Amino acid sequence: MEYLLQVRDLKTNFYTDSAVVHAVDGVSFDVRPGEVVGLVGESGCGKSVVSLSIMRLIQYPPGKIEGGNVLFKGRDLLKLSEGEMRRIRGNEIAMIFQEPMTSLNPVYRIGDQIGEAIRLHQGVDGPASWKKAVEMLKLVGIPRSEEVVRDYPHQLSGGMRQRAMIAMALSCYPSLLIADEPTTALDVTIQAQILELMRDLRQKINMAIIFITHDLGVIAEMADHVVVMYAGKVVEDAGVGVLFTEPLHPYTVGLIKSKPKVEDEKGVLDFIPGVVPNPLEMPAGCYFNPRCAHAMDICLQEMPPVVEVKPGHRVRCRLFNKDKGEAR
Amino acid sequence: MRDLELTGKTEPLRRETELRQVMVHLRRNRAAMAGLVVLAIFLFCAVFAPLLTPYDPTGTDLSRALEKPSGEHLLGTDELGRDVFARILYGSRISLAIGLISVAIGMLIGVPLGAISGYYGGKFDLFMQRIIDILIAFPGILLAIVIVAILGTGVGNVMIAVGIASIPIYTRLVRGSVLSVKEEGYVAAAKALGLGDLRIIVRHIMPNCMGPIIVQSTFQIATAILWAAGLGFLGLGAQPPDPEWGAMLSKGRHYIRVAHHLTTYPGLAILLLVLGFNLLGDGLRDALDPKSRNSR
Repeated sequence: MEYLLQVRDLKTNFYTDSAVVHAVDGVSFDVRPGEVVGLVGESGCGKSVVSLSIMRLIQYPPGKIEGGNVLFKGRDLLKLSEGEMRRIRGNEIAMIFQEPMTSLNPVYRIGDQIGEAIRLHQGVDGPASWKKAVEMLKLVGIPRSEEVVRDYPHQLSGGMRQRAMIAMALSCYPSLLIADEPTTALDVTIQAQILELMRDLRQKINMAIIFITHDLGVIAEMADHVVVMYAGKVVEDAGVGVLFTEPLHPYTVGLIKSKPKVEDEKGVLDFIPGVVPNPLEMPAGCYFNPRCAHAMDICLQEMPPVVEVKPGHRVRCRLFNKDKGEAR
Repeated sequence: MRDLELTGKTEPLRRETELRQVMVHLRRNRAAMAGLVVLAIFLFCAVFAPLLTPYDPTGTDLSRALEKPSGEHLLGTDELGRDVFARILYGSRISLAIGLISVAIGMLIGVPLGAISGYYGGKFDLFMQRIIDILIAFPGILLAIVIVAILGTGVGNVMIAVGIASIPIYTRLVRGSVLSVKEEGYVAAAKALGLGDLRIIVRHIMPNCMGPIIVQSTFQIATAILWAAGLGFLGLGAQPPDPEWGAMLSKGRHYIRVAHHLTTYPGLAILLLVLGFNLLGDGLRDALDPKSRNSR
């Protein structure tokens, strides 16, 4: 099995009274077993919707998955029944969220919550799941885990809670973990600890991770492969080394340039002019054309196709499409 | 792995549970404690009624009818010579039972309906809420009278009627709480763990909606007792010779000029019991609401 997860042409729409928002518009990417795939993009580009679509947790109404395939271990998740899907959630694909403060139920002890997935998916009884919860807390580096397991969420700090969340997500040893901005709400030192922990655990239980973030620094540290999203579409995907050294898409170039650098003495950050287009009024042609310095006439009329520049490096931009138009 | 560990041994956190905080704030609230004491006295009277009075609440003695309160009959006797104190003691059994059981009935039906309505939303919610709109448009006591008229009189039917009349209140209340709680992160996390809807509602949503339900129930017991007394007064509740407070008022009002103790004391009993529940409810509301707790 070469790929663990293959997302093909995924389309998720949100319906309002007056309009349809194409939050995820034909997204495709692959995840190999044990690989960390970074999903980057600005707020609102659809990265979280991609992750919720893979888990089939899009709430209808207003959202609905309208097309595509999500092949996980050869099975199309979008075609499974709700019951079959529930057996996959938390068991084979787990998810951790951005907000460790609200992702734990205040009325249960940590051990009860970590044990819940274990009891559900592995059919073990209370005491056994409790022991497993202590083990999981140890695995994620929580000291005094025999005591912490009896604590309520409000007794833990943010970093401890995120560790507990990770313990909960990993309790059934999933083969894929979807981490939706798992470190955004944490301060920098805790962030570094959590990232290190995730790298470490990935090795230990050989799990693939889809790492969603808008922080390129985190991506550079964590990911093997990077998928860059803009306005619901994948604009570029490449190995992490290639993406940072030879970014192709003008948007990726802009993103990387706008990261502050320690050695830079200029004092002013580079930025991408303009703003993300309103999802209700997408520009014709390439969605990035109003902000693109290299926009050509054809970019204003047609959405560019995805071009595979090198094996494993794809970009959705006319600049690299040798057949049509030349770069200005 | 070692270097990942957080700072070795920390001070053990003070295990201040939510329950303990609520108890502390409740204990500081004098009105609520007064309410609790009143309720405790009534409960004691209800349980130990036979030990507190030598008289049978239904035993008549026409030779001693309409006697004023005295050492022998603490609160006097009624028109059939029954001891008013004994009747009030035994009456607290009926009132407390009606209050508790009818509220239990209302909760048992209203809470699940509200939870399903709020959790799933959509057409079921729309349909449910329009029915609740209709029920809420009737004053509760009127609704209870209609239901008693259908079911027939008697203590059991009063419980059912008052219970049904309190369903819409619970449905609305729980629906509102569920609507806000279901957006919480831990509900999303529970879904991502593969939990089913029923488990999410019962294990993750309902426990976080208990505060408002507890407060409402305290008030609702008071309301139910009042409604039941009202039905008793109208002759639709407990039937003679049951010592029901509302019915006692109704009978006693004919003798109000000559023997006011027939109405005064049952009336006071109703007042005190309802007041007790309301004071406790007020205190619980403040104690369970973190906002008002901190502003003190």
